[in-house]
Order: sequence, then structure tokens, then C-alpha cells
Amino acid sequence: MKKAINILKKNELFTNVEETDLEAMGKSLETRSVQEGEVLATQGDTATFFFVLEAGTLLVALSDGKSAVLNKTGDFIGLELLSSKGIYISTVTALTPCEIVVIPRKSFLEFIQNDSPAAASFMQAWNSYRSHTFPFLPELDTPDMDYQY
Amino acid sequence: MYGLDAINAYNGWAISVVGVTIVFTGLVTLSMAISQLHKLLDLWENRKELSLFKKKSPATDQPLVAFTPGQKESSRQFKLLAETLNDHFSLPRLLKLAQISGIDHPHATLATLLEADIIVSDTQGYHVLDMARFNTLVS
Repeated sequence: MKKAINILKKNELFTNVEETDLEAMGKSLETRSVQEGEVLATQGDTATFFFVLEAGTLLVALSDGKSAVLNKTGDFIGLELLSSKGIYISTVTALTPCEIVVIPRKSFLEFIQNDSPAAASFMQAWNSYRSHTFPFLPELDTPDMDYQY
Repeated sequence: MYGLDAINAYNGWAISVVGVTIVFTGLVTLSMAISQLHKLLDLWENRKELSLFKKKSPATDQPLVAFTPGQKESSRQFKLLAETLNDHFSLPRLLKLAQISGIDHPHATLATLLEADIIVSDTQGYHVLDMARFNTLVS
């Protein structure tokens, strides 16, 4: 769990999240090794997990042929990049052997829907990260995040 | 001579003020040092990430990504496939074509081309092939 939390802390998204919140989330985290060519999430399937990259290269294939390549430690693959209304909207494939942290989607959504400064700080950081890392992602404007993601 | 007279006569007030000042300054310094201790501990814990302790890689113009003969062959096949697509092509589509075409290790080859900046993002979700870089590194 400590290792997974340390990986989260390397991402700018989680830097303002309190240690206690990370530890609470850490209880449901697990690290996983994936092989080259392995598919982590398939578009159209029920969305059960979000991912944080520790090492390796992931290809996130969105609809209409668009895609994002993630290869930095701490890169977060979740929210509108990955799912909508509980369904995966993109397919995530490992281009190289990868080490990833798997976060249950439900527990993560519970965290960001908490009316807490940590959740607000995360969403603010995510919006900034999303707009400069994935400028091609459509803007979503809905307060009902559980429904949306 | 006793009491306040003795204190006045032997600079007692001045000595006590100096004493109080020394003790107070010492306590303030100590508390400030303790309050900053966590930064020192953070530095110690993350010492491997400090540039001071990192081994410097020799500055060189050599490309960081070295292609094996097999990777070069796969990369040439990737280039041919990319040329059948638009200038700004879909990376998943290119990968699918590479898999259908039976290119060796299509995922790893694509990762290498991305790492070498031969295939680069156009920031709009599509990618482009940098021919100059391809010719330098692969041809």
C-alpha cells in the first residue's frame, strides 16, 4: 500500500491531497504488472478500475481514432479520459511491460465526490492536467460526476 | 549592601537582561531549527532524486534510442504503413494495421518509435511521422 501511495504522490494531481486521504484510498489500491500488448480496459466494457502508471508506456485509444500515450510515472488514467456513465470509453493497451496502480473506480469516485478540500483540490488539478495533457478531450459540464464517469 | 542597592551597584539589571536575551535567543533558534527539521529529513529520504547525487550522463549528440537491426526493419514497415494513412494519422489504427501485417513486436516497436520522437503527437489526438528523424535514426 505504501508503494502505491508513493506512486500517487509523484503525480501533480495528488500533491495537495492529504496523507490521510491517500491512506484511506490506499486501502483499496493494488499494484499490477502487465505485459506488452496486454489490454487493461476495453471500450464498451463496464468501467471498474482507474489506473496510475508507475513504469512503462500505455496507449489510451479513444473513439474516432484519437489517442494519448502515457509514459510518465504517476500518469493518471481515469475520469473522462477512460469512462462515462460507468462504461469504458477508451481502450488501454500496454505498449511495453508496465507496472501500474489499480484504483477501484467506485472508491475513487467516492473520494472525489466528498465535499472536502482534498477532493476540490484534486478536481481543480485534474482539470488543469487534462487541458494541457489531453487538449482534445471534450469538455464535460455536469455536476453529477458519478453519472458522468 | 544588600537587595536592590547591590543589584544596581554591580550592573545586576544589565546582566539579567543579557542573560534573558541569550536564553530567549537560544530557544528561538532551537525552535526554528526543529521546525525546519522535516525539510532536512525529506531531503535525506529523497536524496537519490537530488541532482547533486545523480550520476551525470555524458553530454552527447548521440541519439538516446538505439535501434537493433530487427527494430529497424520493423520501423521501416511501420513507416510504410503510416504512409498509407493521412499525414495526421490515428495511432490505434496504425497499431492495428501493424498487427494485421504481422510485424514483429508491434507494440514494442511503436513504443520505441514514440520514445525516439519519430512518431510525435499533434496535440489533437492524432500523430505525425517525423521523416527527418526517421532517416537519421533508422535509415
